[in-house]
Amino acid sequence: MSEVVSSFAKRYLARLLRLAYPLIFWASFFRIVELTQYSPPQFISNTIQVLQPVYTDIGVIAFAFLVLVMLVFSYLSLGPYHSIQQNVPFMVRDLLRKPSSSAELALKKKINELMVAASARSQLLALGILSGLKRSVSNHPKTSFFAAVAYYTIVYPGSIVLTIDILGIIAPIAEPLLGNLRYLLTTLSGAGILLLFLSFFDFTDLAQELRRPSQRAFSNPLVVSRAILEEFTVLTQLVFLLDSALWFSIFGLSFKGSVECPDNNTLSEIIEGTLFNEWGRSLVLFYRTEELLPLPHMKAITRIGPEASHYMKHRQPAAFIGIDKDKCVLIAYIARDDVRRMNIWTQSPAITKTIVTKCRKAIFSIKPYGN
Amino acid sequence: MLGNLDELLSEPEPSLVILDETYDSERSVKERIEKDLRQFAFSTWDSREDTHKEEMAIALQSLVFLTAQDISRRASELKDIVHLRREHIEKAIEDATNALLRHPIESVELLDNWKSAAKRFLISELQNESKREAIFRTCERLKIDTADFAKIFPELPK
Repeated sequence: MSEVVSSFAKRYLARLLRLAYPLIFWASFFRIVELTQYSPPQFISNTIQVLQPVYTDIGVIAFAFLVLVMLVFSYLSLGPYHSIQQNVPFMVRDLLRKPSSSAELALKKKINELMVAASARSQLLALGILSGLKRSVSNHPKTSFFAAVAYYTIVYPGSIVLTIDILGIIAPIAEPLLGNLRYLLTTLSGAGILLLFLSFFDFTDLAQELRRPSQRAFSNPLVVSRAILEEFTVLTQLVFLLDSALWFSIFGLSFKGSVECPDNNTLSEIIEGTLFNEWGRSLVLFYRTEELLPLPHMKAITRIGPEASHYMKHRQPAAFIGIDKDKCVLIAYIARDDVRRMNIWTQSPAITKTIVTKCRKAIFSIKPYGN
Repeated sequence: MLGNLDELLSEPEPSLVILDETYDSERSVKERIEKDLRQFAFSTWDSREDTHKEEMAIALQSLVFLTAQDISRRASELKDIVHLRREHIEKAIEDATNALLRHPIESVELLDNWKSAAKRFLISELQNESKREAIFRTCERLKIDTADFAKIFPELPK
């Protein structure tokens, strides 16, 4: 039970803290400034007053751009789920008409082609952008320098100003909900301790994130500095929240993303067992890395750059497709980052929940060995 | 004939796997091992503890699934393709039953051999991977689940 609670806390509290941290940071900062009775020189106050509306507009534009990027990638990532769900009923017809091994193999191959075609574009686009960013500093130092200067003088202050504007809207609503915590902000030491305490947890979580293979594979000093400074703006975290909301609005509780999962053998037992208990016999297709990254696709990834191909080899993607009669009832994509994680959709929220719970139990069973 | 684990593990992992309505067959493997194979395998094990019996059941399951995969691979006309069907699992169970009927004493050796091959595989994985990933790869290669792994290896080998 305690393991379940700690896992829940780690997963959701960390995300909540990362989302709220920029707002708490600026609220504490302004409180500390107020308590120390510091007031900036007049010309600084005047400059801030003049520039604030401009930077608010820049912040709104930056946010809109991030949302647009998120929508493009979400649309591309949703592709495999939609095309498999839509096409399986047609693809499975031959097999239902004349069940045979060759018909099953043909079905598996067709679905494989569909999965590769549906995910290839988004995968190559994402890897291309990330690899380009990584190599930008060494390949185009001048352009990178100017891009960094433009980002830190125009876009980043805009993001900060927008974060402070959002704080202005949220603070009156959130204040009554803070209860006794409010009194911490009445003294300088209280506000300081609160800020230090939350900063420690926020940056510990960020450090863990930056150590992930996906981050290490594509990071350079500019990317890392941006990631650290973005902790003081709410925009990136808001975009992640919107992305989760978008997937939730499309699939509801039938979809769970980034679920820690065990090895493919244990996972296969979990999936087959759960589908069997629900619908009796069903067909489960398992796709290994070599099938999801066929030779032409892998060649295209290699052409992007060595970091992209090394990273994809590390990811070892795999997938399960569950078919009951003529319907696709399960799509699960598995890949390795810091640990193995799975994005799973099933036809029913209850089945998704059962599979996720069984996965958690399987992970807990090997916790005593350490990581 | 029930395969030797080293030989079975020397075969490359198939690139294509279809699990064709095998879940109830897999369940029946577990049931058959509980009911039938135990009688032969454990007849020589009366003096041993229950944990050894449990380990034996896991080793037999692993060997049955790996043998079934081997049968499927041999039956397939296409290279590297495993289309695991109920009959492959049933044939592997039959082979296991016959092997244990013919050589009941060898079941003691069978577990020791299986455990040492599994340990060798795990140690080699631990040298290159994190503990968690090494455990997962061992489970995948031996066709066992994480609960079985915990029973076979209460501690990780050094």
